Amino acid sequence: MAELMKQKMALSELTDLYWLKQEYFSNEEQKIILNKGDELTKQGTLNDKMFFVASGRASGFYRPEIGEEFRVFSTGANMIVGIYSFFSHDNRSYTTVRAEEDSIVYFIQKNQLPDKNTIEYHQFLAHMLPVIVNEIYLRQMLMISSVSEKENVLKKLFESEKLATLGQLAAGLAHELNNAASVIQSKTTWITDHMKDYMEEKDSKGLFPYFLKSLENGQEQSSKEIRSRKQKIQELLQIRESAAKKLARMNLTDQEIESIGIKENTQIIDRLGNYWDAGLALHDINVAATHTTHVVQSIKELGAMDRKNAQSFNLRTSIQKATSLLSDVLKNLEISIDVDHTMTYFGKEGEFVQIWVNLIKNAAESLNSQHLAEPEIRIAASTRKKMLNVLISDNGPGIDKETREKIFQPNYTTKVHGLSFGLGLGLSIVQKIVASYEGEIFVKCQDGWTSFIVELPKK
Amino acid sequence: MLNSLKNKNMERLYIICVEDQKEVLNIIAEQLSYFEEHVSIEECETADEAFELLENLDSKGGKVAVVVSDHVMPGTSGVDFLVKIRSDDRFESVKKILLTGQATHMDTIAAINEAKIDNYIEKPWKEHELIAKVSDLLTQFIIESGIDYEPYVEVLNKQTLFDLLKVR
Repeated sequence: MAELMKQKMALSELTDLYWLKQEYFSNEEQKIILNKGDELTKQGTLNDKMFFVASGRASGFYRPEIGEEFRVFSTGANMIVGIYSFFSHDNRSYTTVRAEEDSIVYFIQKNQLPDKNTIEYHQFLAHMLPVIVNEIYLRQMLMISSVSEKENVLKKLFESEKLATLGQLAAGLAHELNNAASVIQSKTTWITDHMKDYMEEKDSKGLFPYFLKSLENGQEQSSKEIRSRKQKIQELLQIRESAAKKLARMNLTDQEIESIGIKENTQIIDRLGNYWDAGLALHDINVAATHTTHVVQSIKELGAMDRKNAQSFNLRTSIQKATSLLSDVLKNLEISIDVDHTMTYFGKEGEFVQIWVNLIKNAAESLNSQHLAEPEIRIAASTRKKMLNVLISDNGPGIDKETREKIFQPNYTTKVHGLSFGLGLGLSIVQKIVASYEGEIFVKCQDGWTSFIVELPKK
Repeated sequence: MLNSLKNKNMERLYIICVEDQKEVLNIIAEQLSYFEEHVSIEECETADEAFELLENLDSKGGKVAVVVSDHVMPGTSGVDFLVKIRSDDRFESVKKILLTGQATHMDTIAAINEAKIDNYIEKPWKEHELIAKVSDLLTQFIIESGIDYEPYVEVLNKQTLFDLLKVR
């Protein structure tokens, strides 16, 4: 609209408005002083006047048969209003023109125009023509911009509907998979426990510890380490490559390797390998089952977000719910919650638990990825002015500037190692929830602490 | 000991698998152990590690017959890695399989056009499917490189072998 205004002004400069003003719009008897809100013309009624706005501002409003009135044009000082009804056949205003601020306008009436065949009349027309052309041009532009605006709105609507459908689909899928995932998870635990007992019972050659080792730790060494270890073992024991590889993967001590060599028992390598492989297989199944359950659960939580009602809840309790959900990843970390028992907030508690879970989980994962002497997470809440601030900090490796900029985008993830990768949705969900409470979230790295600050308006 | 006897007339051949998730890498290696008595199976967790190994084996006179690579990995991606192999004269004849569940349309196009991959396997895959494809490509590699196929015949694809020999 501002762009259109500018063009109108530019054109007005070209036309000799000064002349029109002098000749036609300066009669003090045809001057109207308008207060803000006064109407100049009314939509659909007869109008035989054309107005020159000398100062102030007047705008035209159109009221459709159904729906709210909206602004069609806006006219400032040194501009002309009422051109359409003045020249049109039916002499009716198509908008209601109203003063948007106190204004002064001059008008002429149709019957004041000079006779059609006079020079004066042609002079008038010659000066009016650019104004009329400008008017037509403006309406055209307005049409185009409103059509393209409508297109955009429709497109957005379509996209949000698509997203909503996708969300429903995901929630349905998660619901269906949830049972299957739970069964796999719990039965894996069950079979692992039973296999443990069984293997221990059957073991007469002291191989059970190797089953336990791979079950608990999985494959600890990298493929590179295994390769160089394999070569060493092959040289040491002069055995087949495949057997050497088996031993290499088990991460045995030199002493253990030598004792196998002394026994010169090729069978023992196979048997040892079987114990170790069985443990590793169960370990990997456990990792995969846990991961499946996590993914399914986070999708389910997404779908369930809107179901509970908003009410006042205890902040500290909501944070404790989050930490208890995360007890598994928090077990080796020092965690302190400095939140007053009396603090409450109004909202959907489930959404807040989800915010804390995501932020605390991120902190814990960044701590667990490093071998720190004293890994620690600090959670603190404070009220300042009309804001509630919740701070979740960790003394982990921190987040570089480049990552900090992208961190809230959906699908952005840094977790690409092993089976623990995330969905890349966590922080974008957190941000969405925080925004729905008209709050904000920041990330700060200072003095060895990485902090996520959730700032919420106190209602 | 059987192997070392055979080795006298055998070229040292390798199959390299690349996959960043250890659990999945284990599965690939476990399935490819079908070839273990005839060909060495090497496992790598990154593309860079695999390329280093390729160069290392090449400098010692070893021949890498087939590379099976995952696509989405931290660092160099599977497609970029295979393109790198393709554009290196030393590894021109290496057969390449892309094993992935996440490649986009563009990735696949690049893999075919630039890396000239020989096969594409989608995750999750079936064990016999992987073995069949590797066996087929191993056979092609052996014949194309003019290596005596007889010591390997047990793990080669008989039909492919027959077709290739017929042409000669």
